[in-house]
Amino acid sequence: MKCRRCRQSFSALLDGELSPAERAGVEAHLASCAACATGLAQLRRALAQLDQHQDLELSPDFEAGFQRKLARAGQQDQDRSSRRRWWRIPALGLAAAAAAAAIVLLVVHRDQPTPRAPSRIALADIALASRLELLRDYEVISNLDGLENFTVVSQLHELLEEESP
Amino acid sequence: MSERPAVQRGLVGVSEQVTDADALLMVGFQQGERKCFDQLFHRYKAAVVNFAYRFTSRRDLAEELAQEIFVKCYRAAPSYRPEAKFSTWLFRIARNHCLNELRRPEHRVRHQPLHDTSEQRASGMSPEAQVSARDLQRRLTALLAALPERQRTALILSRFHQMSYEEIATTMKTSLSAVKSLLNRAKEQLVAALGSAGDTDEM
Repeated sequence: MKCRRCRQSFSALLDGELSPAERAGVEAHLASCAACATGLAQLRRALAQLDQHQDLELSPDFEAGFQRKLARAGQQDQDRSSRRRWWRIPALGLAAAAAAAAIVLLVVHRDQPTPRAPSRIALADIALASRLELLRDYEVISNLDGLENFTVVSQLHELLEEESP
Repeated sequence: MSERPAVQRGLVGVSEQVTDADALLMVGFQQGERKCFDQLFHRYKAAVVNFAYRFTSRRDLAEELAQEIFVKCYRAAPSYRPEAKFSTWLFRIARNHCLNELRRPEHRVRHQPLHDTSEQRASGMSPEAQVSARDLQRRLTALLAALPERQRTALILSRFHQMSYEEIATTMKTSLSAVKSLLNRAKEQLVAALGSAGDTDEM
């Protein structure tokens, strides 16, 4: 084993992560290489120093702080959920209003008087056809202020004939 | 008191392969037993606080971060699968939370020298020894802070949480060979920073 390979195994060697075969190879090299043995000793000392990094002691209200944060997170969830509900209510209201408007339109449309029946139109046309002479005088009638003088109106075509040359 | 949790009795839908007591507690919590989470909280609270402390180098924020990590665990509990070891799941959440905190533009973490607990604990020492102990704590904290994040995580999990390389790989979602490499490089830097001091101490 070369020195480089041996040094790359130091970490796993000290952490007990080498296979028996790998461990045997490293130990054999260390037995014959003073430089690598010194390197391993340096790593051991450095790790021993790192292990002196002291833990923090927890404050007495650590758990209370966690409970407060948990309650706050739960409250935020509820608030978000409520906001979503409030969005949903107007949306439902709008949908209901639209549905109600559609129903009202349908009812009103259904109750409106239907256009005059074709049979009625035909009868009126026949009656009109029988008084074609009145149609000829219609322009004059529309220019009168009123129909108060029924005598004039009834004799209108005679008056017109008298006036004509 | 028995180490085996009460929830082991009559668990619903749990594989027989799940022997991790913490995983069983999590399953108990998933099934509605709040006291199971409380047990996990008490078992791991110091570990999570100290992980946050060493990861961020801020003892004044460590507890707050740890509380937030436990809130995340509480809320993420339904997604936990008992096939995974609880501690790797917990520390993955812890690492991600601390990492997010450090990456936040307005993050609460400032990289400043710390006043470590040695200041309170060294009262029985001579003044010279107190100064020396305090100095060592500062140097070690600064050294951890100077390591790249992945090296720092691997070193903290290995050295202070006694995780195996496989557990570290699972926690960090990386390969075993990557963990070996990260730890090698972290320890090389450690030797470079502390090696000469260690040699002096031994003389």
